Order: sequence, then structure tokens, then C-alpha cells
Amino acid sequence: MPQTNTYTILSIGPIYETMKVADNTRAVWTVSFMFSYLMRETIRHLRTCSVGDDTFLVPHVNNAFQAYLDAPKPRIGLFHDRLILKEDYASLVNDAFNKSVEGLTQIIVNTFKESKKYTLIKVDAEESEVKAFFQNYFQSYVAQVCIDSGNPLLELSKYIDAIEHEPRLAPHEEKEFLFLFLRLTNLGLLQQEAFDMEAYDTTQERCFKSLPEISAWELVKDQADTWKKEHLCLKIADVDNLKERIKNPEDEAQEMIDILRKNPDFKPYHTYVAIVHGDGDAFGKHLEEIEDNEVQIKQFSDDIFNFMSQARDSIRKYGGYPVVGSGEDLLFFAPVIYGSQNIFTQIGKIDKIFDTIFKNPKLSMSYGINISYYKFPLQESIEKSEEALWEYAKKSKWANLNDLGTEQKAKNAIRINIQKHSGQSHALTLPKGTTLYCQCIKLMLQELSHKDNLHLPHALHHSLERVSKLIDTIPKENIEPLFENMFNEKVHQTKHKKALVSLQKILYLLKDTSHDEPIHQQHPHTQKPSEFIFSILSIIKLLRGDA
Amino acid sequence: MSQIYEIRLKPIGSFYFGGEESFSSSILESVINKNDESVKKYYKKRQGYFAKSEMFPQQTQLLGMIRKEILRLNNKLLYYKRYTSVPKDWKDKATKIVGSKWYSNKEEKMGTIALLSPLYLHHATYGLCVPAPMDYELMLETTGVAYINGIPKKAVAFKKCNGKYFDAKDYLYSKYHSLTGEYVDMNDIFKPQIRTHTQKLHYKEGNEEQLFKVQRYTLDEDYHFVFYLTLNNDSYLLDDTKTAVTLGGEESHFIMSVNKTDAIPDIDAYYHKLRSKETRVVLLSDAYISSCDAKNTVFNDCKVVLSQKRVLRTLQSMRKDKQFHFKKSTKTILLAKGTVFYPKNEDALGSICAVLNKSNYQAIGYNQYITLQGETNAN
Repeated sequence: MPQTNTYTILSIGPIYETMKVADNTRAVWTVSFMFSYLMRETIRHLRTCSVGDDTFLVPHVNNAFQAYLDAPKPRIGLFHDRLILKEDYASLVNDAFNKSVEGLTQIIVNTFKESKKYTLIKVDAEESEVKAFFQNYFQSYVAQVCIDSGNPLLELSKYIDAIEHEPRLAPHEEKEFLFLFLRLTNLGLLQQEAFDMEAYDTTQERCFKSLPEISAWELVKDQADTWKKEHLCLKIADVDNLKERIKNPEDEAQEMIDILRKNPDFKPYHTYVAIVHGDGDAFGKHLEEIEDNEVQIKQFSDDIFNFMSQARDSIRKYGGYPVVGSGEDLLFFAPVIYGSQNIFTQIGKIDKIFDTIFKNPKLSMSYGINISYYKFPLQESIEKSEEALWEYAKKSKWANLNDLGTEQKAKNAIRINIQKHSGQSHALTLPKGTTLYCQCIKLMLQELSHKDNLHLPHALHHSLERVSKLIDTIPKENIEPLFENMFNEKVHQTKHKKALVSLQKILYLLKDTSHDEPIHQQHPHTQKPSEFIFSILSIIKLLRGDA
Repeated sequence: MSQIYEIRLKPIGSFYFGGEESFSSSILESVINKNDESVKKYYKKRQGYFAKSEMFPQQTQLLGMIRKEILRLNNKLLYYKRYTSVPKDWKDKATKIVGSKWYSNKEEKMGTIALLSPLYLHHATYGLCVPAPMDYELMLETTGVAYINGIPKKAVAFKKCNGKYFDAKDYLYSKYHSLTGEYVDMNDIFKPQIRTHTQKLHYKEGNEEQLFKVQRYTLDEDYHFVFYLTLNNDSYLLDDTKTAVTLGGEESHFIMSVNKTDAIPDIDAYYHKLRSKETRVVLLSDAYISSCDAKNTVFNDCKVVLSQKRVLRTLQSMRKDKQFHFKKSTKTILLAKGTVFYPKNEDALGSICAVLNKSNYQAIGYNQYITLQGETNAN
């Protein structure tokens, strides 16, 4: 007779709806941190009610995790929007969440009260109205059910996924309070929660960088302290003396770019920022396989937590800024180039961490990357990055790549969108872990090296555009003669030879017709070889600083 | 004598129905206005840059359009250089025909306008198309214990026809169905069109070099919008007529066809085919429920409610000092058509219906619903 166990699941929100109100980096950070804070405090309240650490399945509360609960300076939201416990704790979880909402609401009320200290704005909001709004705004869905078979993480989700569509009607729907709070974060009390739990530390810096600071981090980070003090850092204690320097985020970003343009090393790519969404592949299937094995479930939960911790550190070392790193979801802002690295090498590092921790070839990460000008509306960039992940990378299917034979490969892909300041856009989907992917990355790294003899000719795009239909229709064997014919100057045979050969190799891979079905069948969005090449060249142009 | 009219609206080109995503910066005014110039500077960039059209207009927009057209067709409107107006000495007559003011949720007097139906779609072959319930082909299962936003209930899950369960990757059903059973996917018939502008069109302040985008929609040529209008007097609209009207913003024009009809089509019969073992209340139009009613009655009395929210604002114009001033109303949250309520028992069903029965909203096509009795309505 199968054993029946009782589990409790909590889901909180509305994260997506709240994220849509955020229109700059600090607001996006705040949204993520707010919900993580609610979950962290819910766990804390449960533990004070003697809910044992062993009871938690997601997150798995072990010794390492406790360190985060007890003395965190996480600088980012660490906690997922879902919590799963063994046994029947529905009522307790509901109460714990309500307490965490009260706590957060009080922080918001205090931030408004002290807003004059940090900004030129006195947020004159009625405390009772603020409380009524936020206490009705945050949503919670708790379910407690008996499960006799299957993985509880999967079985429980169905009791939450539908009821999350039951709306909550807040008494005051204008969301003014929410927007006001998100804009005050850089200088507000939530910063204290993220960065210094003990004392109100007035020497702390702003908690979140503007987009130009992120995109041009390689220029910013080594600046002298005096430069930083003048242009960047607003310590809370200095605020009263620096009233003229508190600008709205958009003006701040523009001023930062104007200052950085005076740096002789300033390149066009310093005005572009990469927004990356990442998500685990085949996690659901893996959970089905491990069923209700509690040891494996907790191990998996630990692995996810450890992966996210290490991924965040890696992103920060690269100069990026993680915004969401909980569960299997990753969202970060990053420079396109940082020293000798670029966004693709950084993805490679994250993947390496993933493989080291999970040690399971069936699991992988897919990514959606949107690279856009720093002035491009942030919400749209985030949406495009998310769309790149879910509509392209996650849905991509590849057949007959050299490495796969006739096998089909799905997911484990990167989709890159580039939105140029001119309005032009290019997009590309790459299957990771294949020769095609390695060849594309190799070509990009060659272009970024200081060795001229690894670079492609300038204006190559225009030359190839004239013969794009030919590129799409001729067989693989005719690629080399075509290139020899088109690029027959001495400089092509010497200086640019290696780079042109690399490009040809990519075309060979795309036009491999050794099997019945066409290669790079990218369901549901197929790209012709010429479109693929032009997208690569556009990325290279941006990386090279020619944008 | 009372008369029902079937009114069809065929878009001329693309159209724009204003929604929440617009160029407006109306929020925060109450806070910003209490502070000095530096505050206004801090928030000045809040103005939207991307105005997105809704697929359907608000019922209040339909009402405004038809009131204007009835006055125009009955020669009760004067056209000036930049606006139309009812002259003072015609106001009494105009009031008797269409009512005296813009619609507010307290105002019920609309002259001879007795009833406005919700707006539907109509296909050239399939005929009338109505919104399907959001739980289409889902079966409710209840077990255990749950707290939904703090309200204690049973835990619920929805099983799909294929035996799997509704999960986070699924979307609530949002198609229209013809009365003969064809399915209409909104994304197939409403096609977005984005236009980029380099100048601000509506506001005098701000950076003129800023880019603005407007997303409009086109409607598949086999479809048009349709609604039913009941007038207490059959002399103000003629049968079998066509005229060009403006509905929505950004120069959205439609061909309006008016035809007398004996009755509004019986859509209830179609919905009754969608009965399941559970008793449900399905919204046939967007509906207003106050947050107080929602908290105290609706969500307490339901096993679960599947819904999406829609925003309603009205635009009030006032002429002052020879200029027109526009004021946006505060936001009202509506529950979208297709919303499904699962009442716990018969008493709960009664409470839900009582909350929805708001005559002033129902008169203009909101808060329309149907009760589908199930095989069981026990908790």
C-alpha cells in the first residue's frame, strides 16, 4: 500500500505584475529583493514557531543555508517564490506570510516617513492607506495536500498553478505607493536589509548601479576613489550636502555616459548592456525520475541553491549585476565586454559551474540575451530577453548537426537579440555544446583579440549581402570557391585568411547535407545560413566597437 | 415603441483603443504636486513612450460613440472648427434622446437608450462569436486545505482533457467561440501594428526629439464587431443604414451598420452546452465588483475564481476659457469576460449574483453573466 504523506506549499506574488512597474535598474532590483525578503521572513517566522529545519524541502534548510537566514548581506534576492514543507502547516504558513507582509509594509511606511532625509521628496502618504494597499497587494497561495506517489514538488505545483489566477483586488489600485517606493530604494531602508542587518550604516554606498555603470564597468571600476566620490557614490550621510546631485535615474545615466565618453578607452560597446535570462532545462523530468526520494529532492534543492550562489559570484566578478538568482531562474545585467572576457565567455563560466555541481548530462541551462543601448526602455529589454529565452532558446530544436548525427537536440541553447541604437536589430539562436557553437565563439574571440591577423575584413557584411541568395542555395562544396573568388586581394590571402576560413567553417556546418533533413532546423523559427552569418557579423561588429 | 438594433462595426484600416499603457503620466500627480520643482524634475521621465491598444473598446466608449451618432443623425449636433457640441437651446431635446452627461457609474439616465449589450465578434460564415469561459475543457478537483490570499478553502487543481493538470506553463483559455462551435484565437484575428513617431503628439511638455511608439490592431477581414442596442423609441435610428464613425483614439474609424432586429441572439443556449459537474457563474462581459464585495463576498463564497483583470478609465472633457480640458478618471478594476466563479453552495451562488447585479453597469453592457448549474454544488 503506497504511503501517503502530507505536504504544504506556498507561492507568493504578484512578481510579474510588480516587475512591470520597474523602469530602472534599482527598481528591478527592489522588486526581486522585496519578494525574496517576504519568503525569507516567512521561513524565519516558521522556524521561530518550531518548524524544524528538516521539514523544509524547498528550500532545503541546512547549515549552509542557515548562514543566509541568520546573517545575510545578500545584495540580491536569494529566495524563490515557492516554499515546500513536509506535513500539515497550511495555517502556520499563512500566518507566517502575513507577518512577513506586515514587516515589509512597515519598512515601506518608514521609508516614506524618512524620505525627505534621502531625497528632495517628502512622500506625503497616509500611513493607513499605504498599509491597506500593500497588505492587499501581495498575494499568497497555500495548499496542503496528501500525496501518495510521485515527486511532491511536481504533484504540489498543480494545486498552486491554477489558483494563482484568482485575482486580488486591492482597495487602491493606482500603484503610486509601489512606484514611489521602488524609486526610493537606492537611498531607502530596504537597502539596510540587503546590506547591513545590524546598524543603520550611513557609510554604505548606493546598492544598485545604473546601466552605464554596468555596461562600462571596465572603465569605472579602476577609477580613483576621488573620481568615484565625485561621480558615483552617494553615501547616505552626504545626502544633505549633495542635494543638487540627486537626479532622476535617467539624467544620472546620461551624465555618467557623458563623463565616460571623455575616457580615451571609451568604445561604442560601453553604451550597450546585456540583459540575460537563464532557466534550467529538463528539471521537471529529473524531478519525475527521483519521485519522492527525500534525500535526492533535498540534494537537488541544495544543488540549485549552490549553483545560484556561485553563479552570482561569477557574474559579479565579471562586472555584471544579478537581479534574480533563485530556484532555477537567473536574471542579470552585464557588460557586453569586460577586459578580455565577453558575455559569451561569462555564459561559458556559468555553464561550467552548472556542470560541476549537477554532474548530470541530461540537465543544462538555456539563456535569452538582449543586448541594447543603455537608453532603450528597460522593461522592453527585459521582456525581449525573456521572450528570447522562452520563445526561442527553450523551443529550439536542432537536427543533424555534425556532432549529433541524426539525433535531435532541443533546448540547451542561447538566443541573442541585438537592438542597435540606430533601430536595426539582429537575432541568432545557437545550440550550446556543439561544433557550430564552438566555432561561432572562436570566431568572436578571434575578433576581440589584439592580433590583426585574426580579424575579418571590414565591410564584409556588405560584400556578402550582395550574394546572400547564392550563399543560401549553393551546396557546401561551392563555399570555398565562392570565397576565393570574392576575396582574392592579397590582404585577404594573408592578413584576413584565418578569419575568413573560420567563417567558411561555420557555413560548412550550416550547409551540411550529408543527411536527409536540413541542418539547423530551428523549430519553430528557421534561419537561413545568410541570416545566421549576418547576425554573427553584427554581434562581432558590436563587440569590436564598430557599432 | 421599444426597438432592438443590431449594430456592426467594421474597422477601416487599423484601430486604437486606449488602455493603461499610454503616454499619460497621470499617476503620482497627487504626490508631485505637493512638492517643489526639484521633485517634478525627479519624476519627469515617468511619462510613457509606448501606447498599446486594447483589442476591444470599453463599453463606455461604445456608449459615447452611439450617443454622439444618434444626436448627429437626428441633427442635434453642431460642428465647430475643433469640436462638436450640442447648442444650449437643443440641450433639453438632446437629453431626452441620449441623457445629459457623460457616463458615470452612478448615472442611469440615458434618455431613450435602454440597454447596451456587450461587444461581440461576428464572422462572415460562422456568425456570432462569444467569449468562452476561462476554464474551458478543465475539470475542477478539490482536496486538502488551502489559503487563497488568506481565505481558507479546499485546495484545487484543474485537470485537462489529456489527463495532465493545468500548470504554470499554461495560459487561461481566452478564445471566442461561434454559436456553431468554431474556435477563434484572438492572436489569429487581431494583428498588432507598431508605428514609431519622432514627435510627441499629445503633450506640450517634454523632449520633442523623443521616440514614441503606438501599437494599433487590425482585425481579420472576415470579422467585425457587433453589439445590440435597445432604444425606447424606434424613431431615432433608421433601419438598414451605414455610416462612418470614430471609435477609440488615434483616428480610428469604422463603418457602422444599423439593422433592426426582433431579438438579441440566444447565446445562453450555447453556454449551457458547456455545463460541467460543478455549478459555475461565467461572465459574458467585463464586470465590476468593488474590492469590498470581492473580499467579503465573492472570494469567500467561491471554491476558486479564475479571472484576469481589466482596467477601466473614463475621459471627461470640460470646456473652460474657450479651451477643452480632459480629465482621466481614477482607475476601476474590472474582472474580464470569461471569468469563472465556482460557488461553494446555493447561498454562495445567490451572493455572487447579488454582487454582480448592478443595474447601472448592466445597462451599458457590463456585469453580464450566466449561471451554469452543475450536477453537484456541494462544498
